[in-house]
Order: sequence, then structure tokens, then C-alpha cells
Amino acid sequence: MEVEIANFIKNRLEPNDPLKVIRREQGNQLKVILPAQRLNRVCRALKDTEPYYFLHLSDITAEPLNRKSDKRTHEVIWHLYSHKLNYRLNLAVSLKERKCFPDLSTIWPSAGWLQQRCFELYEAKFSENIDERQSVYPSSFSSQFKKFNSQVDTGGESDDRVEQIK
Amino acid sequence: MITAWPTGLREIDLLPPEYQPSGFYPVGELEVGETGISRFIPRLRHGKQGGKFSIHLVNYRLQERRLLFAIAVEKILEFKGPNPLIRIMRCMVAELLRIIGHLNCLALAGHSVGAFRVASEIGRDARLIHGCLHEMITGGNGQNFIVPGGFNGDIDSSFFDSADEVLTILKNRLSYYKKNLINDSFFIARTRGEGKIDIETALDWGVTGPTLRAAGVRRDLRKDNPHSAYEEIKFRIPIGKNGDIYDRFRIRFLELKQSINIFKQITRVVSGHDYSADDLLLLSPGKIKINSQSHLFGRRIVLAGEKYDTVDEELYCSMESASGELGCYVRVLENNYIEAQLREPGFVNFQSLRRFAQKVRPEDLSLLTASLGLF
Repeated sequence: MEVEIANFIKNRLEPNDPLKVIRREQGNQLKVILPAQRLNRVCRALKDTEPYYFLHLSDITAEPLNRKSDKRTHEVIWHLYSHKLNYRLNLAVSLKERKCFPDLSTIWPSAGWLQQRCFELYEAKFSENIDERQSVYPSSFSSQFKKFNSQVDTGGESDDRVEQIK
Repeated sequence: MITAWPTGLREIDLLPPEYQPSGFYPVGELEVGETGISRFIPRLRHGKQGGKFSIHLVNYRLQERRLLFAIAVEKILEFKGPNPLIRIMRCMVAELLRIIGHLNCLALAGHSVGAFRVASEIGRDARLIHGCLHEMITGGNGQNFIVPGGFNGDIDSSFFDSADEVLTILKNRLSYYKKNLINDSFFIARTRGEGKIDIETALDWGVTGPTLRAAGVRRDLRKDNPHSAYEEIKFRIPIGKNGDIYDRFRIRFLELKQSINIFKQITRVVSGHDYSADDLLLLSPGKIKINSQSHLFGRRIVLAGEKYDTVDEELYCSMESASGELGCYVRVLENNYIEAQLREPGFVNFQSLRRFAQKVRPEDLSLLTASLGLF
């Protein structure tokens, strides 16, 4: 199954496009990292093509800035599910900060608020469908992820919450 | 022609005050046309403290999230357990939480159609079950009862007796609820054919749980992707045909029966014994200290005292809650951090109101809200 899906995605990419496939044994899941400009095409094919029919977009999550060695890179992950295959596929795209991720609300309308939430939690911007005001979270709410990022930004000070627990 | 509702965009609360949880509750702006609602813009409102009932709602939601988080952490850290006893106890807790969720939806349905007596009785039963669960949880270690590795406290044998007694009462009352709510001619007239959702639209908008099953999709994560001991438990998945509001409440009612049966199956195995925390927890309690500054959708958690080999691993884990798919995306970081983000079924279902509320009578909007399990 994993090999078939990976090959199916690979066939939708251009020959020189980078592709990385990671298999998660615990949850019987596959993570595929692909270029942003091909995401729409791949998702449309995954949704419409038999026997995959990834009809359900479960969630959109992201990895905050500063986490990896390349400190200004965002990674957004789309969690898809196929009822027919009972299989979960995680598509990921990495982009430099301030670049826009593709909007998938034309394929899955449920992406709208999930993208908005991703923007408010992780500051990941999407090409459409984003309200710059904080509309999912209250205006007083500052995301844990943003707080964590700001602590890392201030010159390697230790995280006092870790100290507190130890 | 609707005359009771003025046309034009106006904001309404979708839940009565006693159901509004302190974190978020749904409101919307609606525009009414001649054939019903012509435009609906869903919004979330924050920070309003609700009535006493809301405390229960918030608590049981929290326990559902804790349960899923525990399961996700065990999967990603490749814990050897949990042992069969913990697995079966978790099913029991999950089913109690489902029963509370379904009863709350049915109570809200009763409120919405003016069946206040039935609604208050259903609400009372929900509070009774919540009382049993509360007793079990506070008998352990407060809100930290459900933790990765098991349960952080003892379970007294009296819990099984009291829960069994309450569920037996509830089982006997189901016929009363069926007669006075589900089969009531006024309730049927208000709900049948209203707020129809077909399979394709439901899947497009990401709705899950009873809403999707009412549309005719036999999808239940307890069967498709079972956690804990669900593989060993026998139960049926009721599905609907029309996908309307009536079908959604009927599915919830039928699932109540199934949940009670599951609970009875479990109590046959585990009742009559006291269980100490040593039986129910795989790790020593000092190893697990959860620092959670929880929020509805994002939280950061530290499991202290352990070093993990699985840094940078990630996993999406899900379980079936009363409103649909409750998801948890966990990632192991350096410094013993585990980061989790939750997928709330109510959040995804709520945005779909933009589509589903069209052509619904404005007075049925609260029924639609309750049927989608938005709180």
C-alpha cells in the first residue's frame, strides 16, 4: 500500500521535483514531503482517483519556526484519510518564513477554518482564506508555540517551565 | 413565508446560556429569506462563563482529550503496555464519556423543541453518570487521573456498583425517552427532512461521527482504527438513511443503547475487585509529571524524568468521541517535550454550518446545532 501511494504521488510530480517518504510503523501511517507548487495537483488526484479516494481531510497541523536547524522554515502537514482503504496519509510541505502555503479549501471546504487555526497557532500563512485578525482564538490568547518561539529567539535562555518541573 | 423572523443579517446565540462552556461557544450571523436561512456565517465567541451545567461539559471534554493524549503518547514512545486491565478500563471510561455526550445532545434537542420535562430528565441522567465518573477521577489524583501509562490512582469496587446501577436506571428509561422524544410526533415533525446532509457534502466538509453515520456512511473509529480493547468488544454501528436532523438524533439514541451494552460487557469482566494504582499504572507515578497549559486546540506537555530515543518522531492518533473524530497530533521534541495538537470534532462540524444551515428554518437552527454536537 505504502509503495503504491508513494509511486502514485511520484507520478504526479515533475521529474526533478524532490520527494521524501517517511513510514510510521506505530500508527500505520505514511508521511510524504513534496514541493508546494504540486500540492494542489497531488491532492486533487488523491481525492478523485480510484482506489485511493482520500475524501476526508482530518486536520492541518504545522511545525513552528525555529524548530529545525534551518531556523526560518515552516512545515505544514495535511492529515488525509481514505475511508475505502482505511488508511491515513500525511502530506507535508516545507517553506521559508513569510511564503504562502497553498490553499486547499477548493478541494476540501473543511480546510478553511483549519488553515485559519494553523495561521493563528503557528503563523503559517496560506494563499487564500485567511482572516488576518485572530478569529478562531480570542484576542487575549497567545499561542504556546509562539511563546516557545519567542523564548528561543531571546538568545538561548533556558525554558523556565522545564526547570520548574525538574 | 416566514414572518416570525425579520430579514437581514443578525447575530444569534446557538446554545442556551446553561450550555455555553467557558472556553468557546458557537454563535452565528444569519440572514433569513423566504425559504428559510439564506446566509449563515458561523463564529466562535470566547470567554463567557456559562451556568452550572457548563462545568460538566468542560470536564468531560477534558477527560476525553486526556484519554486520547495518553493513547497517542504510548504509541509514539512505544510503551510496552498497557496491560489488558488498563485497556479494558479505558474502554469503560470512553463509553461513559460517550454516553454523557449523547445525553447532552438529546437534552439540548428536548430544550429546542420545548420538551422541557424530558430534556431536564435526560440532563439529570447525564449528571448522574458524570457524578460516577467524577467520583472515580477525584478518587485518584484529581484531573490527572488518565495519564500515559494507565490511571494515576486507585479504583474502588464501589465505582462499578454505582456506575452499573446508574446505567441500569438509564437503560430502563430509554423506552421513556424514545416514546416522549424520539417517537414524539411533534419532535418528528420538527426534525424529519430538515437539515439534510448528503454523503458527498458531509465528507467534503469533514464532518464525522453520528452526523456522517446518519448520512449512511458506516464509519466508526472504534471499529476502523480501534484503540484499547475495542477489538475484543462486540457492538453494532447504527447508520441512517436520510441524513436529516431526525436521523442524527436517532443514531445518537441507538448508540446510547450500544454504549450501555459495551459497559455491561466490561463490568462483567472487571467488577467486584478493588484496583490499586500499581495494577493500573505501568510507570511509577514520579516519572510522569504533566505540565499542561491546555487550551482548546493547542497544548505543550512535558513528561519529566525520561529520556526518549524517538526525538522528532510524529504521529496522528484518533478516537471516536460523541461528536465525531477526536484527533491528536503528537511530536516528540528535545528536552523531554511532547507537543500535541488536538482536532476537535465540534470545531470542524461547526464551520460546516455555513453550508448546512442554508434553507433551514431559523427556529430549527438550535436543533441543527445540537444534532451536530457543537458543544
